[in-house]
Amino acid sequence: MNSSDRLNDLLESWCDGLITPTMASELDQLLASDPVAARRAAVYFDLHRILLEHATSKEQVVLPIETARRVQDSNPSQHRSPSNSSGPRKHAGSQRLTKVSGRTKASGRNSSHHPRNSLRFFAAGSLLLLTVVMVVLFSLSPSSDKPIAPTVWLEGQATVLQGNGLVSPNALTPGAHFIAGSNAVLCYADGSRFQLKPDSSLSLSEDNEKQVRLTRGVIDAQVARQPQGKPFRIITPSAELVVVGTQFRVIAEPERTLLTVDEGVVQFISAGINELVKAGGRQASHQRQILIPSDATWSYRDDGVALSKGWQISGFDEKNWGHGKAPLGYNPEAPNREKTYATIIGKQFIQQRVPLVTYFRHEFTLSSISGLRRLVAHLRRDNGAVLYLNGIELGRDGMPTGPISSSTPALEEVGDYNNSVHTLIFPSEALRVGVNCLTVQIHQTDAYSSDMLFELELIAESFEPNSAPKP
Amino acid sequence: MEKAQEQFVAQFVASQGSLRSYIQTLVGYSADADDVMQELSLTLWREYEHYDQTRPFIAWAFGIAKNHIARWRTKSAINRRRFSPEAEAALAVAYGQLEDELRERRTVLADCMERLGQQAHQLLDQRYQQNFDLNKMAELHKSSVNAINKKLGRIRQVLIDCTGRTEPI
Repeated sequence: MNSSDRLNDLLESWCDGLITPTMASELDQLLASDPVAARRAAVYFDLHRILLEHATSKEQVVLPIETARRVQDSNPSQHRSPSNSSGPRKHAGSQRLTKVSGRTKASGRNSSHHPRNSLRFFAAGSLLLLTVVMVVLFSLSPSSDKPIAPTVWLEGQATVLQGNGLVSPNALTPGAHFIAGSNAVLCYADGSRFQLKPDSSLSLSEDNEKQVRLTRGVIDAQVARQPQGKPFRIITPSAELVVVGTQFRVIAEPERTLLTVDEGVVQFISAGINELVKAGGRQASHQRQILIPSDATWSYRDDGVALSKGWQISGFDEKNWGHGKAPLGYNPEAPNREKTYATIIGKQFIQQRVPLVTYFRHEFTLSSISGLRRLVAHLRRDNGAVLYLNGIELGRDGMPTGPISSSTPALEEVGDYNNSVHTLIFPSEALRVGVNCLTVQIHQTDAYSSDMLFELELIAESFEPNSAPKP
Repeated sequence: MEKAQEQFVAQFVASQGSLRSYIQTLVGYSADADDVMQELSLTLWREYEHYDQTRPFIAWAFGIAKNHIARWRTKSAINRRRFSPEAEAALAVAYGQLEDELRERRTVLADCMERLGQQAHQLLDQRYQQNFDLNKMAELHKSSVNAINKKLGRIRQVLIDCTGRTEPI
């Protein structure tokens, strides 16, 4: 018998409780002297642990929230609470799940005894652990005790974050943020169920019990019929879904949202889209591509001179230009100005008259512009701004109409510390394959302005193929 | 703070499987292992602000896990040492090296189990679901303890081979 077979023998005996002291000593020596044996043992032990854990943890996966229990205690006949005791209980809720989004879910006793189905509970031991951690930390962390709903609870595994710490799922409150583990299901007393794929990130609204924010991940939803005027709302980074009662799947990715409706109708609202998606239908939000991130490095000219032609197109000689990361600007009066501005410019003008205009340039390259439909700029400016793409004016904000020169003042003063973001939408026709140049002029209202600020994020949006909104 | 939470949870969730396996290997498959894991999690969270982000999270976590296991041995008065310090250290290194691989294996395990035959399912069910000891299983199957041990060993090996494949079979 070679050493590999012998190691297997020892591991098998160890896992099945048949190992003798002599064999244990032999295994010990192998692990201590042979890194390969140690790694093989780690793989074996890990498998054994998972097989054991999934077998013992299925009783511990339902986590009713405190409020549900309170209501149940006060009126046991009216509400079906997920738990009658404070301890873990059987995963009865999932037995009501039958078919969601075309996929049959495990239900009933027999299926839960199937090794594969029960394996899905394998990490519930970890859940128990996290739950206990959360319970302890909850006592250390301030959080609201306002109940979110008469009966809403969480089944399966999830890590719940709120306020300054991890909290217990038993203390689910408005604003709670979940990161789903295995079999995580957000349940409502009316029968609505939101099954979350692992690692999905979901927040409960602070002020609307029927509104959830899906930051990323996948929800298979089964929403019971809602009262008129009180629909469920699912908010993603790029869309809002309004649901009266239906079955559907929503996938939230950082740049887009995909909806598939199995039954009923879901209203899909996104930039440029407001569609009722019916059973069998699909809808996707605009795809978004960040062309210039908000912390991009810009070239700038802060001496107020009138620039010659050509500075607004790519290939311009940037001699005498500075370079720095956004946000750029100055405000000698601002507390923490080192944090407000990534790059402080215009230092030479402090306590002097300031130039009316500061120029900014940024070049970026596109390998394709196919499908790009529009540009979205998120702009912070003090005071006014004019934007050009490849020498063509995209638009202006806080500036007068008519010709713009280096002496044109902005329309109005922006208050100190006003960092509001202005969203501007432009057509994308000026984009081109290859190097593109976005230039911005920031104008002050007068030569005595105390501060200046510039930050810009530029996003190109397109439509998912075959899912463009109807004209 | 919220970013730290998210970061901690992401790192802890990624490492907890290996940590749990390591603790259970050393402490035993018992409530004691749960206790150690629970205390470890609390310590990791409380000490997270002192964690040097330039080091691998799992290495930091294993260092603290070793202290917790030592404390458990002292406190429990069991002082049952399954492995020598050298073997325990070698296992800690192995779990740290295999963190990503083990996570991948856990992900595909359910699919691999679906490929097992009926008898394999029955044996796993009896051993792990119904927690039968091997004597009882041998009796049920009119076989020997050694034969059942070998069959279970083969099934586990099939699962290890299957979960170790990079491409679906």
